[in-house]
Amino acid sequence: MSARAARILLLLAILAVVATASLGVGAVRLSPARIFAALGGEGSDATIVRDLRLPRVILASLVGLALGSAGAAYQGLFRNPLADPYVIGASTGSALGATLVMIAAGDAGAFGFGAVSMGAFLGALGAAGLVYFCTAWWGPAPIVTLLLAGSAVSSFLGAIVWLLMVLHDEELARIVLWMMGSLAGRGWPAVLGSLPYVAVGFAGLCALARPLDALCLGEQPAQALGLPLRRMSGMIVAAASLATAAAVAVAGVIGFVGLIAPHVARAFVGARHRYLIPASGLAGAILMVLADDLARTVAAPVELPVGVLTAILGGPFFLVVLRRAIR
Amino acid sequence: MTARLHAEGLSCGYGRGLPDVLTGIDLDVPAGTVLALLGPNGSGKTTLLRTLARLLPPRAGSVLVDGEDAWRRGRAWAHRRVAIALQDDPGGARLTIDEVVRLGRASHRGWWLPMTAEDEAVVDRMLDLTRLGPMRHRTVDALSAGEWQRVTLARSLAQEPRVLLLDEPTAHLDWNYQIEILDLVDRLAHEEGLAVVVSLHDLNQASTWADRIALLAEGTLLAVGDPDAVLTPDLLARAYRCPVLVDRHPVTGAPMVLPPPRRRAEGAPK
Repeated sequence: MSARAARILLLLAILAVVATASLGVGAVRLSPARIFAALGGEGSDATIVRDLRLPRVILASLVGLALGSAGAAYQGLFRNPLADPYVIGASTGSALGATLVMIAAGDAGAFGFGAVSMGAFLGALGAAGLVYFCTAWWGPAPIVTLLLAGSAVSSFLGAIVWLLMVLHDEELARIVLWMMGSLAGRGWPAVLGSLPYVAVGFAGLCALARPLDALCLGEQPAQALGLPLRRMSGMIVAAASLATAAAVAVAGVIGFVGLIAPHVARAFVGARHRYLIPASGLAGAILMVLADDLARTVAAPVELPVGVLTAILGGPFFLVVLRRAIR
Repeated sequence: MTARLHAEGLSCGYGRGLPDVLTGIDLDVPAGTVLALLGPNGSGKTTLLRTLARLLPPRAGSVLVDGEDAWRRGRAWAHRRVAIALQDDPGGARLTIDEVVRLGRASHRGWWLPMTAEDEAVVDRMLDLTRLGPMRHRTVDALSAGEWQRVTLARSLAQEPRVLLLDEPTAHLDWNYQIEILDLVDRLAHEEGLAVVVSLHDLNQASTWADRIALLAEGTLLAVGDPDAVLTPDLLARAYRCPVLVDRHPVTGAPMVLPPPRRRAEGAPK
């Protein structure tokens, strides 16, 4: 086994430990012994662990996996260490798509699946595609161009979401929660509903590792390798948008996890996407589980929206990466 | 016999509605020879290379590799036979040298098929050939210009091409690295049998290392032939719009281009 495969297993082990420990975090603190007893047993501990915390921790892992791997893919595709689903507007697009479907279809269930997920996917695809093809048309995009295009698309789409909120104030609370991003109150249906989307998006990104490597060299050299670059780029945007949409449909807009995770993963396994994509997914899952633990406990008994927390923690990180990237 | 690389009536250009950059290009590059591409800045050297490499569709004419039309045979077919090393920089890529050179094999394995033992062997050989073996695990974002140039060359060679196109491989390199690259090009053509087209700025390097020279200017091929036929004061003055002197190399007798005397006459008051 190669050293890098071993490090991916190490990340997996860290995730397992963090996730298990997280089952004990919350209003009722549980020791590891009580967690394991509750997993197989009966009573109030079992209800808390099996029905409330376990699905939530798994969901956090899935959301983190989706955002982390999508972030790594966007960073490779845009050749830009600052790209992530949130920065390039895919998350906001996703939220808009989901909101539109929710309003149009009456009550499809705020975090239900099917039509809302499809809306989220189309929204993410539209936003990411728009930013990608804009920057591609404008020639090789310097880092700042992408950020500006992403933030323009993001504020534009965000403004439409705010507009919808004003026009449909009966949905206000739900949309606000969505825009802030949260994992509160989701149960097993949310886990089972998002699992296939996350799995397909993640597997797709893993399969596209070689084209992502080629794109690192720049468009011309990548083309000279004989890969159908346009088609590959389209598939990368589609797979990353699917992963993003899976996360947003279930948890709302959660920023910066997709930005930070690939940087952590790169330190572990290097830049080759064959290892980077899975490692970023795992790093994203670990970050997401930890962030959700914080969101649950830092202001207890009030629960913070985890999206607000990741934005507060991720903003400074973004500036550090920006400074390094521009120099 | 058909030449390995053959271009016929080629017109190249970018963008709709813009004029052609080059028109009426006919070229033959037999296997085992080096053709140097000369011409002033903006004369279309890179444009021609990109068209020959099947990166830029020709406006007219065709590019034949071993007698077959590269555009008709398709992308994958062409890039298993023709490799191009463009002038670029590693950008922000943090891949290792080894990982970049491996990407050359994508032309044979596509975007999905796993690498075989044969691919590994080819990568190893090209790393040795470019003397990158010992440093193969270094990341490319910290390489010197000369090292990156060798990485780009190794990646192109990993495609196992029959035709190798090089865009100013000696640009920004110190004298010793320039000679090293050109000696490698020489070996690739004359020992490994590649057809090489290399664009150069230095006329004397072209004279020394090329079997034939193509001189681009005024939107077309001004002259093509062996160095003695192309590196003449008349043709060079016409292409570069400035006077030059042509002498002989003291050892090889190849034409050597010298700059004209300074305009400010010697001994003139300061």
